[in-house]
Amino acid sequence: MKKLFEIQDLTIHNKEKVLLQKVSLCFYEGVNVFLCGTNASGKTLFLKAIAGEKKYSGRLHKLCKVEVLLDTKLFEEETVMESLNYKTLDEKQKKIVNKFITKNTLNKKIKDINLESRKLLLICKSFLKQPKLLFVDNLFSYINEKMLQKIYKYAKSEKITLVNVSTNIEHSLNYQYMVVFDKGSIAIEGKTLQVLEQEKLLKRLGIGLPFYVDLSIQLRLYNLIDKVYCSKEELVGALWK
Amino acid sequence: MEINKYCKTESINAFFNVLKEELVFSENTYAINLKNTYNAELVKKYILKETSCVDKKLLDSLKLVHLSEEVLDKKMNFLSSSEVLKVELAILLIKNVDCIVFDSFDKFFMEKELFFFKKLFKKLVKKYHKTFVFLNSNLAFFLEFADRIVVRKSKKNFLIFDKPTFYEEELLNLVNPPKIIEFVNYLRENDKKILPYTDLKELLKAIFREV
Repeated sequence: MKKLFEIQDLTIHNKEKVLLQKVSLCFYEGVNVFLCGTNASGKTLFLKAIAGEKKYSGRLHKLCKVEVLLDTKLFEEETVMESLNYKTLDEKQKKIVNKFITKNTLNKKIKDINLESRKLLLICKSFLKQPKLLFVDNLFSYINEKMLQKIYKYAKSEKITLVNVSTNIEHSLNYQYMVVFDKGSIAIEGKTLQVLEQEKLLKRLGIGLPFYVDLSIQLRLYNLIDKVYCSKEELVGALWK
Repeated sequence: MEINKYCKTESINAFFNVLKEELVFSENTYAINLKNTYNAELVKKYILKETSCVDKKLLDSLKLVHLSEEVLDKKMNFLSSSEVLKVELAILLIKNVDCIVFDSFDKFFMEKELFFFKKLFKKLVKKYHKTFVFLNSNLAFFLEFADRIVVRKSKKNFLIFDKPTFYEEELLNLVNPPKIIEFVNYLRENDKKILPYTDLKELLKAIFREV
């Protein structure tokens, strides 16, 4: 697997205390990562350091084009078209825009579009920069499932690896790798299902489980099934063989 | 009616503009929406500026929203978004407002804290007759929590469900069902005798009996 980005001992502190402590992570091409954590565990701070918005110590070794999409991003332009610089885009770029933004929305003022469309606009602007690794701070939580699948499909086709910082645990099943932050450091990381099976630790941290994973784990305790399933079809198939 | 200008978003405005004729809200209604940037002022100073409250009431309000006293000595721009939301909520609780409107509340918290806040809101509704309005596209958030669900069908057409069971066909045609509802409906479509549960433990027992 091609390494895209390596983080070693990333540490951030203010005058009083350490906010992020020696975080080391590696990101690989095609391995999408779901990052979640307890409140104020340093998730957004971590992204801000990568974006160059926070002072840090440690080593960030970028081996490809990395983009960070923060949820606090403001729009300076008045219309959607202006925000995208639509008139200056080439045909290929316009095709990208048209995948995610309807013609109707394109012609609107930013203040007239809904929250989901605004988030989509930010995501679209990031895609136009053609990154190889894209960090997204909780923006996918605002996007409907159908559009989200479209985003995943597009990212896969363009070989864009996604790192999604999110509070929506249901989304974790769309990612191969999972990292959980707690109090400024990594509490647990690994393949998503393996992490989710650490049910007791996750619940102690106040992090729930995706519904089908939770149900599977409980049914396994009743000896009704012997493994964890991620969809209703699989689970019902296993229960009523 | 206009919501008090604490901070508000267009989605909140749109909601109120259309619904003001159908639902009655108190004049003392505030909306919480976080600002994009906060100054480097101490939380204590920020709260004082908004409420002039320095006594036990302030500490009680912080405790109520799951914040420790230590937060008062932090700077606003150093707080996480969930902490900022809690500070804003604490301010409104000190102000003793009647109705608070939230936009995408569940995007800020993981399961345990969401559970804590749902319990808190229920208590405030029951004990102090407060009203909380949540603008949210995720129906699962309202499970075993909401007394009334209002769904925007089109620009000016809203459907109101009082005491929803979450199994109403009309509701599920408009909004994606929570996973538990989706699963129970799938079981029922496949001729399994499962009642319309909204609680995981009850569902588990029912599956155990059925398998």
